[in-house]
Amino acid sequence: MSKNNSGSPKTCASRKMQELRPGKRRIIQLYAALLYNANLKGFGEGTIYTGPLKNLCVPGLNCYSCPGAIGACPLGALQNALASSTTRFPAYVLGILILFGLLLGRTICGFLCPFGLVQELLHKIPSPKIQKGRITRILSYVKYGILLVLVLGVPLYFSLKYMPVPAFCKTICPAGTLEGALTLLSHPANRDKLALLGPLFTRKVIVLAVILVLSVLMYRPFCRILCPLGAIYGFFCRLALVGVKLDKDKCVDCGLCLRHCHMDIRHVGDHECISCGDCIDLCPTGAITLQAGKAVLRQKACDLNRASEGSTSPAETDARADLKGKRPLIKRASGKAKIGRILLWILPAVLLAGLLLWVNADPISREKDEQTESADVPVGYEVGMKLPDFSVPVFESEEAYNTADHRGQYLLINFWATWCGPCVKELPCFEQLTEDMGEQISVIAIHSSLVTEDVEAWIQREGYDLTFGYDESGEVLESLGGSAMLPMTVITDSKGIIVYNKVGSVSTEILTEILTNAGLENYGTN
Amino acid sequence: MEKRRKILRLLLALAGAALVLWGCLNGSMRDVLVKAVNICTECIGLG
Repeated sequence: MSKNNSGSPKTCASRKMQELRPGKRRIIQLYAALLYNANLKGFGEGTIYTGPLKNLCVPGLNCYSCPGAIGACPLGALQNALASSTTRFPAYVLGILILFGLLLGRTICGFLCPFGLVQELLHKIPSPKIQKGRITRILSYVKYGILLVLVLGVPLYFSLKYMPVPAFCKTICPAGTLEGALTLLSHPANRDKLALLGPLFTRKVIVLAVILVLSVLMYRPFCRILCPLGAIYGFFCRLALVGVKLDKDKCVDCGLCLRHCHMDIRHVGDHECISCGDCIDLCPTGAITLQAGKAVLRQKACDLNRASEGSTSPAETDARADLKGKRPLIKRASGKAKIGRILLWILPAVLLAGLLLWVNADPISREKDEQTESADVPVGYEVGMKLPDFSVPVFESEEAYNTADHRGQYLLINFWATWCGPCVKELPCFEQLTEDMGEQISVIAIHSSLVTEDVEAWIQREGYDLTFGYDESGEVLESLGGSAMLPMTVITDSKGIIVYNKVGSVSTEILTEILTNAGLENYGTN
Repeated sequence: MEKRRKILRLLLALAGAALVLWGCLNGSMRDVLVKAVNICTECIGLG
């Protein structure tokens, strides 16, 4: 010990540098974070990636509204899939979660979750630390309640009302606030979205702030207490192929692993274990290894060294025997193994580089149906500009809705979708307005070009007394300045001048005020 | 015990793969895409 403490400044400095050097797990975490968010140009443009890779779910928690995200968040996808479960069984998301769980389990938490990485980095900030104990162990079960209620229960309940409500994403998820909201809003192109900020945003920011502050004081508070994705993967702890395993024959129950583990485990490899591997080198008998099936990915360093040097002590003999029984991937001295190790690092780097080039260089655009008769596209969508005429096909009618037929009326054009919760929630406001204001206004609710169910059947079932149009090619929305955010409402006065064009939910009161300010004086009835 | 675990693992893997395949065919994979390519205003706290 004294030898280590005394030493030249150069030795101390190099030791400090070694401590600061990221370990392999940290490198893998950073790699995963960059892989999930490879759409770097999204940060520069303030837009999100809309390419085909978003068919795929990433294993860790990564909001798909993050400008950089190239894949879908499994938790968000699960909630939305459950919200649509009355029309379609959520087979894909359930299958993906099962496969992730079986393959990696909570190793995903330890190696492949960007939000876990954020918490670990914050925890490095020097401060008094809250140690784990009985209370944190009890709190670790809260995430199962969140899974049951917010991820499963609420979306399923509202699916019966045909209203998608991603309750966890809406109320708690800090990744959405940090990666989605803050990164989008900080971009100048999205300044107009600041008008949408309200109590929901305030609550989410408070939740995020509490979690980030707690991360400084406590190891991974979100993962331990709140994360329903960790709860899901925890169910696979005994089945996952990759993870930390305990050899019970070699374990002497010294408890070192439990004492030093930052998570609330009862034993190594249980549902709270994130397979970080910090216990591997602590174990005096080398009973803990990180394995992928029978292959040993990592075991206690001194065991490996002594076994290869041919030492003869009992523990070391055991270590050699252990090596014989399993196939360590990482060996020393063999040339082939060195090549294998190099490839193990080069191939992922090549994959990442290729993905970065492909996603950021290639302008991804969704295929448009070229045979679709394109709607007349109006030019000029800003407030104060005249809305040129356009027409869209109408559900349950053979006639198209043409704005030219509604001159002299105040137009309310609402862009919505059945899969958009806020959109569905505000449709009654437009229906109410139609009843209150009569022939002075004309309302058209235009469905997004992206459909996930039979919209006509949905409209018949819900029975709204509204005109529903369909923007088949997405050109009408785009021409009115719309993008990847719904709902969006455009309002013109009786002369066709745009008085309102914003993304975000509206209410009857807001719409009435806008129309009144635009000159609508008397309310009529049908 | 280990044998039972292997069988369960295999069954779940097959079930998972079958569900993913079914999801590709029944449109639930496309549902994931549709949601993921649109900004979820609720999810990011914008109402």
